[in-house]
This record gives sequence, C-alpha cells and structure tokens, in this order.
Amino acid sequence: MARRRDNLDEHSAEGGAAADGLAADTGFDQRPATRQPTRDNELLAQCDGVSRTFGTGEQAVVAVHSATCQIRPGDRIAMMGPSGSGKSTLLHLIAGLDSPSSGALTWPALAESADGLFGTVAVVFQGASLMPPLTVLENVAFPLLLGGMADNLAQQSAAAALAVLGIGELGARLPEELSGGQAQRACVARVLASAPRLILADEPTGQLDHAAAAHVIDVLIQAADHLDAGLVVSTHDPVVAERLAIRWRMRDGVLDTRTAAAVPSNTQDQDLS
Amino acid sequence: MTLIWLRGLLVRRGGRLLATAVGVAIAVALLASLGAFFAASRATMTQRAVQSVAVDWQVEVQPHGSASKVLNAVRAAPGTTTALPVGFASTTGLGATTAGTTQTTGPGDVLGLPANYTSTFPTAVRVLAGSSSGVLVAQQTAANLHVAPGDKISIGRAGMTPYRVTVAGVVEIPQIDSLFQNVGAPPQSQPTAPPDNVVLLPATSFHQAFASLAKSRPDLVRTQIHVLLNHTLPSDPAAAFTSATAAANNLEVATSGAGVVGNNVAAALDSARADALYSQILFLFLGVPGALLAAALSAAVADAGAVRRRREQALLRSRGVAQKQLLRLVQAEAAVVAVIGSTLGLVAAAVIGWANFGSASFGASTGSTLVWGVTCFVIGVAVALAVIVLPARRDLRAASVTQGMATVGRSARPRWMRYGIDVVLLICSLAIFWSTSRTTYSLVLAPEGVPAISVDYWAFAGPALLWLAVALIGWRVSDLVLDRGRPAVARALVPAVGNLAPVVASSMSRQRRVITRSAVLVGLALCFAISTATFNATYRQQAEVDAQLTNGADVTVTESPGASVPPSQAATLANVSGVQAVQPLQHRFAYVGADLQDLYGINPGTITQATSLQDAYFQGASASSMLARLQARPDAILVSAETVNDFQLHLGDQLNLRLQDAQTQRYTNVTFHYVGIVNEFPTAPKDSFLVANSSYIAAQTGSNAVGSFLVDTGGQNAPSLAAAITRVVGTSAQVTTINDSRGLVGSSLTSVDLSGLTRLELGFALVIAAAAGGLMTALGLTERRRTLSIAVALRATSRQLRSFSLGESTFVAVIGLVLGLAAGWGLTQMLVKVLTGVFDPPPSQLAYPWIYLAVVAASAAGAIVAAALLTTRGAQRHAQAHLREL
Repeated sequence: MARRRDNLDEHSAEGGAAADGLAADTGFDQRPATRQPTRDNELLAQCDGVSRTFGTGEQAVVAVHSATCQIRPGDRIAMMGPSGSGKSTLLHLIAGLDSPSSGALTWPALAESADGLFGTVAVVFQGASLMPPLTVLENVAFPLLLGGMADNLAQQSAAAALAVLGIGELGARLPEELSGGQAQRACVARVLASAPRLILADEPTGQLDHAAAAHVIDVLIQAADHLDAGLVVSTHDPVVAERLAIRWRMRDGVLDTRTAAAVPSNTQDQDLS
Repeated sequence: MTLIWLRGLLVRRGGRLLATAVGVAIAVALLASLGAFFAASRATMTQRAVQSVAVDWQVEVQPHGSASKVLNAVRAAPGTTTALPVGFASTTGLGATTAGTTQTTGPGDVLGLPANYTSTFPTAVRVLAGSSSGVLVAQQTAANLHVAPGDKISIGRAGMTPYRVTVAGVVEIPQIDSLFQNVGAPPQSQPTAPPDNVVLLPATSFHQAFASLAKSRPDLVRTQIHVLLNHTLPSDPAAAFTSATAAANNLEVATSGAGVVGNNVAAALDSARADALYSQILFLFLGVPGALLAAALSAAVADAGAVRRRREQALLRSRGVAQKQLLRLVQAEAAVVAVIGSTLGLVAAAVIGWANFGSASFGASTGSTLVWGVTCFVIGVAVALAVIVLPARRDLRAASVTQGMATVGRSARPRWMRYGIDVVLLICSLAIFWSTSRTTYSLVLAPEGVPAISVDYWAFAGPALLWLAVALIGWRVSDLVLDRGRPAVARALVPAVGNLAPVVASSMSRQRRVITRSAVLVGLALCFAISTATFNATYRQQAEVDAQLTNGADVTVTESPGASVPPSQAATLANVSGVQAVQPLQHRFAYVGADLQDLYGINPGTITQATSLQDAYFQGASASSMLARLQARPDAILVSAETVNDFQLHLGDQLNLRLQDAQTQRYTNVTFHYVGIVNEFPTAPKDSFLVANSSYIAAQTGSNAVGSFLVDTGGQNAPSLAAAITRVVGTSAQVTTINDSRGLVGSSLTSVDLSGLTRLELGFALVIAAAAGGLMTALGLTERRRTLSIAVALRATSRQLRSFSLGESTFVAVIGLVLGLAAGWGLTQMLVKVLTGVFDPPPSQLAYPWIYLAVVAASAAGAIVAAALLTTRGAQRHAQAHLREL
C-alpha cells in the first residue's frame, strides 16, 4: 500500500505539469519519466495451469482450461479469440477479480495474493464502466479515494489524468452525457490516475468505430509505456491485435501463448488528443 | 412476441414483478379487509341494536280502540312472532308494614303481565330475589318499602280500597325508561325520569285489582300490546331502520289509529345507523389513506424499475419495434402484476377476515361479498395499470431513445415545487381544518327520528390535503437537503464513510429523486401508522374514560333513594379485600330558580383517590384547578355552562339554591359562590348539574347522607370485588362495575367497535412501513447494482461498499422518521379534532401507544438497514456475474 501511495502521490504531484504539457499535443512524451528500473525477469503475473470452471456436474462449463502464461513489465500482449472463448474470464483471473478453480496464479512483483493487488492491476472493461451517478472527474478520482487518498488530492490527480487524455473539459459531465469513445477514454484516464503496474483491457474497442478504437488503443499503449506497465488487451479484431507485440490466442478455453509477432509499437509520437 | 417477453420477465425479473404485485396485493388486501370489517361491523351493529331491545314494539291501545282488535291486528302483522297484552295502571301509592314500621310511597305504576311474559321477553325483567312469577316489586320500590319476598304490600287505587298482595320476588327492570315511555309523544315530551315505585302483577291479579277502576277512571288504566318481532331486517342499520319504521307505520294504518306504536327497535336502529355512518367515516379517514399508501408503494416499486424499463424500451425502439407493440408488452406486464397482486390481496384479506372476524367473506351477504370482492379486484387491476402502463406510455410518447438510455439525468425542479403548491395545500388544509373544527360544527347530522342522515364530507378535505401537503413538503425538504445541502450531508457522512463522504454525497445528490421517493414513502407510511395507532389508542382511552364516567369509578355502590347512609360507611367498604380507595359522593336535588338540578357533594381534596377527573370534564381550567377552587372556598360551586348562560353568571357571583333540609323536609335557601363550569362528572347526567363541597352541603342541610360510594379497585377484577362488596351491603344498595358500563358504551350511540379495525390497521401500517423501507431500499440498490459492481471491480472493500448503501439508507431512515413523526403528530391532532363526535367525552390529551410506535419505527429503520446490507452483500457475492455486464 505504501508503494502505491508513493506512486499516486508522485503522479498527482506531476499532474498539473502533465495537463499543461497537453496544450502542445505532445502527450506522454513531455512528461517526466516515472518508470522504475525493472529486472527483465520481474513477473507481474504468472499463471500455471490455471483453470476456471463455472457450475458443477453436467452443467459445468470450463471457461479456462489449464492456462499457463507470464506477464512482464513492458509486455504488450493481444489476447485474441472468438466470443466465448474465455478471454474475459482469464483477464478477470489475472486481475484477481475471480479465483481459479485449479492451478496457481501469482503476482510475484506485485503482491502475495489477490487481496493485495489494489492499485497495481487495473482493468478497462468492454463497456463504459463508469458509475452513472458520479461525474467523469469523480469517476476517475474514485479508485484513488478507495485507496485512502484525500478528496482534494484525488480530484487533482483525476483532473491531471483527464487532461493527459485530452478530455479535461468533460470532467463535470455525467457518464450518460458522453459518447462511447469519450467514455472509454475516461475509463483509461481512471486507470492512468491509479498508476498500475499491469493494465488489463477486456475488448475495450468492442463497441467503438475504427477511428475511436484506434485512438483508445493508442492511449492504452501510451499509458502503459508511461507507467512502464504490462498491457494485455483482449480482442477479436486483428487490426487491434496488430498494434501489440505479443499475441496470445484463446480457443475453447485453451490459451496458446506461442504466437508472437514483432510488431513495432512505436506509438509514443502519436498525438493523444 | 408478447409471450416470449412475459416468459423472459417472469424468469429474469420475477422478483421485481412479485415486488410490484405485493404492493398491489397490500392495497387490495387492505381494502378487502376493511370491507370485511365494515360489513361484519354493520351486520353486528344491526344485530346488536336489535338484541339490545327488550320489547320490540309497545303498541298502546288508544282510549277509543279495542284492545282485542288491536291485539289481533298486531298478531296478523307481518314479522310479528309473539304479541302479549300488558296492563298499565296508576297507583296512588304503595305501603308496607315490616318489622313494626310502616312505609309508604308516593304515586307509582302497576303492570299486569301475562304468565309467559318473562319467558317471551327475557331481558325485560331481571330477578334479584325470590320468584320470577307472582307479584314482583322493583328493586328501588322494595328498598323504599323495606320489603322482601314473602312480605305483604298494599297498592293504593284512586277512589277504592288498597289492594293487598304478597311479594313473590324483587326484580330489576333494565329498560325501565322505554317501558314507561309516553308512547307516541315526541322525544322532548318523554318523562325525564322513570317511576320510582313499580309493582308487576300477574294478569289475573291485575284484572281483579283494576277492572272496575278501568271503568270508572279509564284515564288511569290502559293496555299495551308488547310485541316480539322475527328480526328479519336488512343488515345495514340504515335500511333496517327504514324497514322497522315502515312496518310500524303499516301497523298503525292497519289498526286505523286504534294502536300507536312505541317502536323501540326502530329507536335502537336509529342509534345504530348513526354508528354505521361513523364507521363509514372512520373507513374514509383511517382506511382509505392506507389503501392509497399501498397503491403509492406499488407505484414506487414499479417506478424503481423505470430506468430498466426505459432502457429496454429504448433498445427495442432502436431495433425497430413500434410504439403500439411496446405498449402491448407493457400492458401484458401490468396484467400479470394485476392478476397476481389482486389474487394475493383477496386471499390475504380472506385469511385476515377469517382470523379476525371469523369470516373469510368481504360482505354480510353473498351478493355484497361478490360486489366487494370484484370491486377490490378491479381496484387492484386499476392500480397495476396506473403504476405500470401510464408511466411507460408517458415515456414512450415523450422520451427519445437517448433519453431512455439515461439512468441518472439532470432534471429541473418540478413545477409544483417552483409554484409552491405544497405550501398552498398546507394553507388550504389548515384553513379547512379551522372552519370544520369550530365548536358549532357537526360532522354527522342525525336528527332523532328523521330517516335522512348526512355527513359533511367537506371535513375530509382538511386531512386529505394535509396528506398531500406532507408528501410534497417532505419531497421538497429531502430534495433541498440532498441538493443544496450536499456539503452538509458530506460532512455528516464523514464519521461513517471517511474520505468517501464527498463522493457518496454527490452520488446521493444526483440520485435524489429515487432516494427522496423512498424517504417520503417511509415518512408517509410512518405517518399512517402513527396517526392510526394514536387515534385508536385515544379512542380506547376515551371509551375507558366514558365507562368510568358513566359508572363513576371501577365499582360504584349506589344507595337507595331515601336511604340515609353516613360517609363513615366508606371505612366499612375500604376494609373489603382488594379495595384501594373509597370516596363518598353526596347526591341531592337543588332548585336553581325554577329548575330542579342534580347536586353532587364531594371532598375536592380526596375525590381523585377513587375516580379520575379529566380536564375535558371542565371548561376554562383544568380538573386540578377546578378542584383547587372548590377546596379554597367552602361555599364554592361548579355549575353547567347552560346555567351560566341562563343566569348570566360571572366567576365569584353569588348563587342561591334551594335545598331540602333534613329535619324539616322543606326547601330552604342556601348561598353558594360560582367558581367554574363543569361539563361532565362521574355518575352525573348529561344535562345540567352542580358540584359543591360535601361538608358545606351537610352543614347547610343538616344531613351528611351519601348518594353513592366510588370504589377504586386499582385495576383489579372489578366484578369479583363488586360481589364481595355486595355481600357487605346486601340488597339495600346497588353495586355496579365499570365492566357493566363498558358493555353499555360499546353498544350505544356514537360508539363503533374499533378493536377489529385497530388490529387490522395497525397490522397493515406495520407491513406498509416495513415494506416501504425495506422494499424501496432493496429495489433502489438492486437497480443500481451496476454502480456497486463497478465499485467491486475497482476493488472497493466490503466496508466501502457498505458506506455507499448505508449512506443512502441512513438518509432515507432519518428523513422518513422525522417526516413520519411530524406529519403523524399533526395528522392525529387534526383527525381527533375533526372526529370529535366519535369521542365521548372529547379527549383532553392524546394517548400515544409508545411500544407500538417504537416497534413500527424500529421495523421501518431495521428493514431499511437490513435491505441495504443484504443488497450490498448480494452485489458483492454476484459481482463476478455482473463483471461480464461491464
């Protein structure tokens, strides 16, 4: 928790500068580096034969079958597969939001158990997962408040994150007053504000058009780069997958991590606004 | 498509449909149960009124008529079961010589009863001692003559020698007033008091004694035909009254005026129909708000799912479904809710009716059961349509697809709030209340003997408008607190939710419509519970006061007129085991000008040891102040308001009364000083009377003889104590208990048996309050489970999740309680004032059933908090499933 608070404080202290830098439309490049030195073999998450079965007996459905994988800082992973193949389930398992039915799931560099993952693993959901009664600013600040940050500091950090993503002017709006793309960017801003080490995005572009989808992926990659975080994006869109260096495939609950592509993810120079 | 939709609703939204149906069911059950109560109550009223009558008709044979012809006409009349001729004769006086002394009385009455009279009319005569046949003497007469069964008495006859008979029994004539009524005379011409001296002779003896007198002095001997009817009357007291009156009129026409009917059964029904009307009023005042509240609960439950419904409709519309098709789906949903809710409600009402009133039907007859049952079912259908179809139709017509997708929205203040309609309603309510609560106002107009009976329904406007005003003002206050008072709410939440307080307050503020709706509904439910419970408790309190006022105390020992019992007898009575206190009460007659009034002599310092005196008994000051005034001045006297007006008295004025001197038996002037107005006093009549210091009266009249002793039993079993006292005083005095008065109060004019209604309403009030709190909170939070699921996904801890729901639920509970308490208190004051006619005497203070109120408040608050905690727990438990919806 102390580490997370340090990160958050550090980030919030720089929020103002980040927002100012946005005026030049240079995105994360103009921000001072917050990346921590990492070891190559530092594992953010490790799945060893992880399975997840829903229901029992004849009704049992195996959503994830003996998945084994590792995620390191800087990894840019596209998890591909058709709908119902178990992508979301595996992401929820890695996020610590669900528990495996069998197998071992650890986060060596982050926490001893799923209970300690607060602030280190963040999830961007498929739909706009903003809380309807809170404004965009309050939504972005919410995880910081859950972490114990004071309200005014949380608001400042949230405003900075929104500014970084170029939607600072949407802070006072309610989620239902946003477009799909704006809402997803707000969700990414919420991730950015909490400065996680691992970002998991569950089909974040599923409900967006191509232009908006590309923009959201840009933002995610830049955010991950900025935080030196690992990034896993589940998608069935090849265009999205091509943006990420590593590609996993999921079919009928079976994860295949052997597929890899050396796709340059040089997006840091792109405009984030 | 409709069937698929319905199946989906039942499978996926079964809980919500059931919750809405439960709201409809509560409304239907309450109405149907009230119908059952009032049907049973009305039927009982007619039955009770008829059963209370000893002799249904007293047909007086007119001087020009033939007794045998009238008797035949009566026997031939439809509805007559038994008709017996009864002779009435006036005696110049009675006399008896017992134990060497001779006692005589003034004029009296002698009745000639057929042999089977007491078996035909069993409640007309009650045997106290001796035989039930032969010569019977009334208890007071026996006391005056000092006779017992076996003694001889002489009956004076005008212009003839006395007729000597042997007493076979001593009896009480419970309905002596109606027995000796002046048949055919208007109420104001009836005798003010029944005769003191009454002897009942067997018909043969009566004939021997008065046959010749009947010829020489026909004005002193007359014949009545006493009739027992078959009592096949309509169950409605008003209809029964009309029927009984028409039958009597028909008989009078059939006898060509030779017989005039003293219609005792119609007189009893005349009182009962007023009672029935009061019960109708109570239904409107106490029952209808509950049913409306249950309907509002249904509407709120349905509205709690409005966001979901709007989103689904918007989705269907965006997929090309026409508005007509959408409306059909909504109508199908409403139909399911209506059928389930109405059926559940009727079944519940039948069970409640069976448990409470011993009948599962909703009416006194099959026809009325059917009509009332169908009516309640239709009301249930109407409620379901109103709460589901109307809002959906409005949304379909007014809202766009985008608006339909919105879950929170930024809404402008409603028009009523901008125009201050709530304040206008409150002012109107108070204005109407003021005009209808003036002392000259009468809610029920039931002129004696007139078939038409009416209620001033204008009086209902006051409470009705107050209900509306309370709901809207509650809404305004809650809205204001959540909107403008958001910082204050956040500060108040800090101790419970810590740094999340601002965001919780913001969330509450933006969802204030939903939260306010729950808070207002809880407030109104508590208001209903408080007003109903307090009204009923006050009613019970006043019924008890009335019983004590009528009897005088728990047990009252009334000495026979003429008996000279000293106050020291109180010590003897006080020695009876179980007696807490005994107070002597003098009873004299005094002339105020030409008006003869009852005068009661008391010891103002000790009278309250044996009986309670309410402030409402007095005018212009409290009971204790009035007693203090009496105590402060020996010649002080309390008089009736009528006397004050008649004699233009002012406080401190001298008042000269004429009292009978014990030595000379002459009436002499005694000077008193007027110190206050008394309206009611234990054992005193309704009309004018006087209350003064007993020591002063004793000194001025030379006699300290006591009229009655008031005995306090400390709430113990009055009848058994009365029996013990009777063993001490013998037959020389009459011993009555508060239980006897309770029976009289419970079946007299302006009294409606509220015990069934009380049980019913208090039960429903409890259910509605708990349902309003729990159901609304649970549904509101369930509807916002998406918010909770997101919070779970963001790794909010259990405590943090609880802080969200507890913040809302605490606000709902606090606002609901404050609103309920304030509105409940105000509404009760208004109800008690408007319904003053129901109370006898009017209450000087309200009786609050604190235990019940605490249970209701705790149930509502407990249901709210429990619902919040369970819903939050459920959201956490099912978070995994909900994650897939994010």
